Amino acid sequence: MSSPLLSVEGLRVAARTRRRENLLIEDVSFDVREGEFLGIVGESGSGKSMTALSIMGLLPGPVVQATAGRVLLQGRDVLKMPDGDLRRLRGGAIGMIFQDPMTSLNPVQTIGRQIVEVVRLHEEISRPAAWERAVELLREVNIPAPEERAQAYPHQLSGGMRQRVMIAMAIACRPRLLIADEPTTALDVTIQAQILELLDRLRRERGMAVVLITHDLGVVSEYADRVLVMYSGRVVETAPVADLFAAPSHPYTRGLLNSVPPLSEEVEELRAIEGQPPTPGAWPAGCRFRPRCDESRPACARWDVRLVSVDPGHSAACLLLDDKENAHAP
Amino acid sequence: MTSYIARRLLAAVPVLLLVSLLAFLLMQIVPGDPAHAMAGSDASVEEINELRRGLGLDRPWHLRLAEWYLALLQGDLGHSYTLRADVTDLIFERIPITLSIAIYSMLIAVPFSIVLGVLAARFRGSALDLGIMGAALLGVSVPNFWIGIMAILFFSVQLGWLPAGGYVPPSESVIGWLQSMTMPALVLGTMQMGLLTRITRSEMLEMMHKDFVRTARAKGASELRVMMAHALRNAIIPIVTVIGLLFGMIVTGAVVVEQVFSVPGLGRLIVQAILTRDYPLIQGTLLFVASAFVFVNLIVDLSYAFFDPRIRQN
Repeated sequence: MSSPLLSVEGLRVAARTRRRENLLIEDVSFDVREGEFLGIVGESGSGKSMTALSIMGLLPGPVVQATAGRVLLQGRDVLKMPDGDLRRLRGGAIGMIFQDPMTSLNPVQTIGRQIVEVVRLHEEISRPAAWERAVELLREVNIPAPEERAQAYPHQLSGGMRQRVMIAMAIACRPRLLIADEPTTALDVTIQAQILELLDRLRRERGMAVVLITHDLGVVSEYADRVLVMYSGRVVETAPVADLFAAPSHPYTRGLLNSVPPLSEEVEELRAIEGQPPTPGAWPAGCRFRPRCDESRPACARWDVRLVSVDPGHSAACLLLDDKENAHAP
Repeated sequence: MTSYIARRLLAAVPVLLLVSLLAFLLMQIVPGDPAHAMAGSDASVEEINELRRGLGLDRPWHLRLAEWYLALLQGDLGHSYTLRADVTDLIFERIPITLSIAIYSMLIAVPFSIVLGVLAARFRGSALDLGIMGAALLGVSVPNFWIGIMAILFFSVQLGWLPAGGYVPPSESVIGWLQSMTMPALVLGTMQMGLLTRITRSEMLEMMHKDFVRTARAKGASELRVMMAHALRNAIIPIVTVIGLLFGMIVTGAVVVEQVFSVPGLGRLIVQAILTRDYPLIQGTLLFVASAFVFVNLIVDLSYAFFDPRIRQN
């Protein structure tokens, strides 16, 4: 098989203050293949957004920085790229959309101009031709009357339309990878489905890979090929989507699945995971999910756990899976 | 749009009436009157009373106020006691001088402070930022007159580059006019620059954390482009507000600066009017200054629509 489009290896991101260094992400590794739809799932503070920003080289430095690991895009390490190359990458090979399309668009520029900007940043193209392209892109993301809408300002559009504009901007230069950081969290439920459908359609039509960051397992089950579950800055489980839902191996994943209402059957009561995820810097020793885990054992506090293979393409980081192989001295 | 302007102008009327009322009442409270000032210190009580009758000052204050307002309705600001000329003419004679200092100082202050504020924000926490902020703080806190005196000592006395004071009309010599305006404008601009630099910096810092700035970076825009086309373009609205307010403060500043550099502008006219208790002149100049302030702020409010499409719609 050919090498993956994106390969994150042992990524570690820390927030540095004068006194101390708080880890935000530790030892995160995963691959994204060409055209793949990867879902990254986790609660707030699990490090999923930081992972996304690392891929773009957009960590809010100088405070937050990647302190170890590699982010290889088509074989080149994004973390070590000079600024100029990084700028060509952003909006070029990688497009990104964000959570809140209202605040993510510049309020004083027409949406057409904002799309023209990204096109002209990456291609030698005249203004009128770039404008044509912007209109085409708006049409591609199903915005009605794109010629007129291109002249509109963000506040004149609905939330769903704004997110479509963001998507048009992100795909303007035919990226190989689109990162969507909770793209539907700020939108109505009915609009959410439309936006996800759109992302999936564009992925198929353009053959680009999509990394969807979300806290919604339902969304992931429907669209993703593969899932990465993050907890407290670590990957706790990764599997093809069918495997994950059929046989979740980490107690945290099981907890998440139990807290999603199934559509098929009636349930008496949803089981929420007790407690709160620990804040970065206050992570417990050993397994970080241990304080909230029903199945924890004394050994969980002593051993740092690593991902172990459960099935081909499916691994999880839990001591229960394999004591000998899994545990290593902290 | 026109109805908005009309409404705003109408709303300004009570403000202006109140300003002139306050100015009038204040002069009634302050000891001394024009007759004393005109007659000199060794005049007899009879002479002073004679003068007072001649000026109509023996009549009750509310009558005089009513008369002043009536004349105002006909566009008449009255006649100066001491300068023996129409107040309107006196004001319009001085406006070009003060206005040219004001505009000159703005032309210096606005571009410089925006550049400095942006630089300070971009390199936040660096030595450059500290230096710019320190200088800005000095600019705001050191009194105008002291800077003026120091500037005279340095540029006129030491270097001999610029005249120490006075005013050359542009009709006489454009270069001379520019030279005579330079120091007053610089001194007047110092305080504005300090304030404006600080505002620009803090607005820029706020904008740099906005989501759309992150989007601009995600599009692959260079840092310069991110700063100018996105952050500064959005920070410009609060900056323009402050520029409008500063324009009002220029008049206050002009009073001091024109005194220090003996420039015969509006500021000096006001000082002169107050010292001689020249009631019509005081009333007229203050009313004019207040109107100018209202007008500039109207322009600022109208300019929001130009800078911000969200406001344009409503």
